[in-house]
Parts: sequence; structure tokens; C-alpha cells
Amino acid sequence: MHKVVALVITVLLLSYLGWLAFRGTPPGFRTIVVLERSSESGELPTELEIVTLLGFDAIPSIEDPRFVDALHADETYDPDELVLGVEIDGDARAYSVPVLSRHEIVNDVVGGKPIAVTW
Amino acid sequence: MVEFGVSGKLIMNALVMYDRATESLWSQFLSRSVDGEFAGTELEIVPLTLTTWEAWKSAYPETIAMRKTRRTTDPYVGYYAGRSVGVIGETNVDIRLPTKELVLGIGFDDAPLAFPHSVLRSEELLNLQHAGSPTLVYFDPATDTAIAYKAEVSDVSLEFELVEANGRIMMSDTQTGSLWVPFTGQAISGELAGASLDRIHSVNAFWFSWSDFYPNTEIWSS
Repeated sequence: MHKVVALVITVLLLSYLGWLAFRGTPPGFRTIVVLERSSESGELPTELEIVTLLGFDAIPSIEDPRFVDALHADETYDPDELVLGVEIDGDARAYSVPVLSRHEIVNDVVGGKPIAVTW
Repeated sequence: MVEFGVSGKLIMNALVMYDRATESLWSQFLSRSVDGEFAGTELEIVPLTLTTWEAWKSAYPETIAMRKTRRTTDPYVGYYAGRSVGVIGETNVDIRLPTKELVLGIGFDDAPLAFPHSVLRSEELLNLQHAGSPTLVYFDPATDTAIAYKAEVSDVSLEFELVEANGRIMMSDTQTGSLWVPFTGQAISGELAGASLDRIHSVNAFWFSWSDFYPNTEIWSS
């Protein structure tokens, strides 16, 4: 009996942790959101389906990117490596696409402007 | 300042972000919040360039680059080249182009227009009118870099052609003959030296993704 109670508690605990990890939306879950549209002539569907595959941050975004100058970057960037390049007010930065494939979002400040670089 | 994380959710196979403050959900493709406290709020678009490290460095020699500790290969190389389509299937199967054809998409919600990279490759520079605006599309076949500009300066429409100057490919406007750098849209010599072209909101996407979001898109053809 004690074993069963312990098992139930363990299951409940695991479920709770799982719920926390997925913030209430389990993987595979599909929800529909209705879009508020800015123009009647728009082509967007009015309803969008959001599919949950992973929990928040299962793929870790980058919050505090560090940078090197072009000369140092040559040591780890291949010449034909894909990058996302952005330039704001003379502040030019390149973000490696192979790295973005693993992180999907880089939060950064470029030319004084907070931006999210997404892939 | 809003900080974004990866939500683990997808809308039509495309990234859904969340902001850490309110946990509202944001569609990358639509650049707006679709659920939560910020629902309906649009993000300002900052133009970026998808190109190679060498080409970017050549256009912006003063650039810095996100630090990496080692050389990296892209885990999705097989996906880019393969036939598989997203994770959750297509919403709108559109056979006008191969599913994994890369397109440059402009116009979005109002007047979606897709330029297949395969077509751009043989054109390299296009002057066109799009939704009433003079538009310029540049394509570099060496790096598959596609960039869209608004083809006007101070409300004056310009038309461009590619020319060779000092061994470099440059753009020249037929109105003044000024020389422009294709990658940056900046005029470096001639009457318009110092001027720069504004970028048009654009995205490089797989055809299946663009046509899922914009099923009524037009496809550019000469």
C-alpha cells in the first residue's frame, strides 16, 4: 500500500514537473488562434493553428552574444559559411547560420537598437 | 526591451517565439504576436542579408561576427538538400514550384510576390513596379544572395543595370550613371554618391513555407 501511494505521488510529481516544463501545453497539442486583422484585403488566414512540439526553451536562444572582429572570425567561419548579416547605423554584425540552426534566436543590441535575429 | 525565447511551437512549420516577460506567442513569419497579452502587436522589421561570410565581410569590412569556439556544420544540411517538408506537413500544397525551391518573398499580406532563386539566377538584376512602388531585386549567383530594394531616392524613381567597374560588379542607375554597391545599396560615386536605397521587407524561404502563409501569392516571371 505504501508503495502504491509512493508511486502515485511520484507519478503526480512527474506530471507536475512535466506540466511545468511545457507550461500546460503538452507536446502534440494543437490550438487555434483567431487573428485580429489589420486590413480586410489581406490574404492571411483568419485562424492559425499552433502546434506544440517542445517546451519553452527546449531549444536555447542566445541572450548574450559575444563578438570578434573579422580577422578572428576567419579562424572559425568558413568563407562560404552562411551568415545572417545586419547593419544599423554603421554597426555591422554577422551571425553564423549553423549556430542559429541550434539556437534559432539571438537577442542582441545593434546600433543601439534591441533586435532579435531569428532563423 | 523584449527578450525572446524559442516556444517549441510551430505555425505552419515556422518558428513561434515567446517573450519572457508576458509569455505571449509571436510568429516569426508574420512578425507579430498571435496569442497572449501582446496579441496583434507587430514587430518592426530590420532588414538583414542572408549570404556567405566572405561576401558579407567584403561588403562590410568593419563587421564583427558572433563568436564561435570552433568551426561548425549546420545540423540541417540534409534537410535543406532533401525532400522532406517541415515537421507537421503542408497546409497548402502548391505545385507551381518544387516544394524546396528557395524564393525571395515580398509584399506579404498586401501583395505577396515570390521570386524563385532559379529565375533570379539567370536575371541577376530586376527592375519592376510592385504594388505601385519602383522595386529593384538583386541576385548574386555566386552566393545565392537575394536582396530587394525600393528603387527610389528622394521620391525619384531609378532604374538600374549591372556594370563592371575596376573589376567589381556594380549597379549603375540609368538616370545619373552613379555607381552603387549591390550588397549595400549605397552609391559610392557619381551625382548620387552618398545616397542609399531603402531595403524592402523581404524573406528568403522555401516555396512550401511561403505558399503556406501566402496561398494567393504571385510568382514573378519574365
